[in-house]
Formats: sequence, structure tokens, C-alpha cells
Amino acid sequence: MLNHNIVISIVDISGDQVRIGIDAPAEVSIYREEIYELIQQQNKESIIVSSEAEQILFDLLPKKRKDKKV
Amino acid sequence: MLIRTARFGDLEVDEQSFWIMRNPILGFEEKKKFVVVPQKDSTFEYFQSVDDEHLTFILADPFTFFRNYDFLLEQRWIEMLQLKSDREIIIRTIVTVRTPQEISLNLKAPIIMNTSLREAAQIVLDAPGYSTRHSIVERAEKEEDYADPIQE
Repeated sequence: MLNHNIVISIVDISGDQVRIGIDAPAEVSIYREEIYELIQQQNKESIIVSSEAEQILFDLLPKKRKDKKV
Repeated sequence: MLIRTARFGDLEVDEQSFWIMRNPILGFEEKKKFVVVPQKDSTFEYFQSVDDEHLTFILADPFTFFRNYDFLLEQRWIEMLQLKSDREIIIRTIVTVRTPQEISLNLKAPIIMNTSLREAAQIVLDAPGYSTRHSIVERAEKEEDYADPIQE
């Protein structure tokens, strides 16, 4: 038990696999570590650091839309 | 309220228009408040941190590029955001821009927004099939894949 409101239990053991159950309130987010790191990394790469990136985006796509309407 | 931003200078923003992250943008756990800065004539909008003037993301409506984007919102997220109706939900995805040829959406971890409470959460989809990098470059260039309906 963690923090009086999170219960971790072993749900099943079969062969070399163990299933772990985590019972926690809705406000507690649970992630597999590799997934958390993947998302975190992607988020960090998505911060706009240069105006070049936004120029690329805001130039390229709206122009295509306008062309199409003509 | 006046908020300072590196990108837009000082912005006069009503506090009522803040988005509060109930579940953070992962890696940015301390940044709880954001404002959306829309762009005229653009599919994209900025998501500017109120707490950090240098922190700006770009958001896109994923359905503009991926019409069949589909997932089941788990009960825990519905509870966290206190969602009561479909009409309260907006779904956005974070855009990653590397080069003109490499622009992608993170469909694995969309941002769910409750428009009534102005609360939001970046969630992570358990189901396989969506990754953190779905290219939108080809979709934007190929008319038939772009979501703007083409009148025949």
C-alpha cells in the first residue's frame, strides 16, 4: 500500500509472467516507465525554440488551403 | 491579467480563459496553467504556458488530418476532467516541427479539454496503433487526404 490510497497487488502469476494490479484514485496517473519517457521526450521536442519552426508551419499549410479554394 | 511571453510579448488575458492541466503535459508537471493563442487562417494554435514565458507548444485538431482517429476515453479520465457530455470535449494533439518535411502529431498522447470547466489533461492511450509521431506533411500536400471537404 502506498500513501494510504494506492493498493498494489499481484493479480496473477503464470510461468515467468507476473500481472500486477494497481488500485488508485482517479487523480493518480499510472504509466509504464518506458511510455512515460517516450511521451516526455516527444513533448520536449515539441517546444517551439526557433521561429523557423513556426514559420514552416504557419506558411506551409494555410497556403495550401487558400490555393485549393481558388 | 497581463502575462509575459517570450513569443508574443505581454498578453492581456482574462483568467477565465486559462486552461488548468489536471494531468500535466508529461515532463512539464509544474506547468499547470496555459492559454490558447489562436492563429488567424490557420489550423494550428499556440498553447502558451502562463507560468513560463519560454514554454510554448503548437496544437492541432487531430481530426483535421486523421479523420479516422478513434479511441476510447477511459473512465478515469472522464472522472478526472468531470466530463458530463460529449459537447464539453475538445481534443487536441501536440505538433512537432523538425523540418518542412518532418511535421508530426502525437496521436499517442492527445490533450483532452473540458470546455465547461476549462480543465485539460494530456492522456496516454493504452491501445496500440497510435504513435507519438504521425507525419502530416503528405496529408497536407495530398488534397484528397486533407480534411477540408472538396466541393465536386
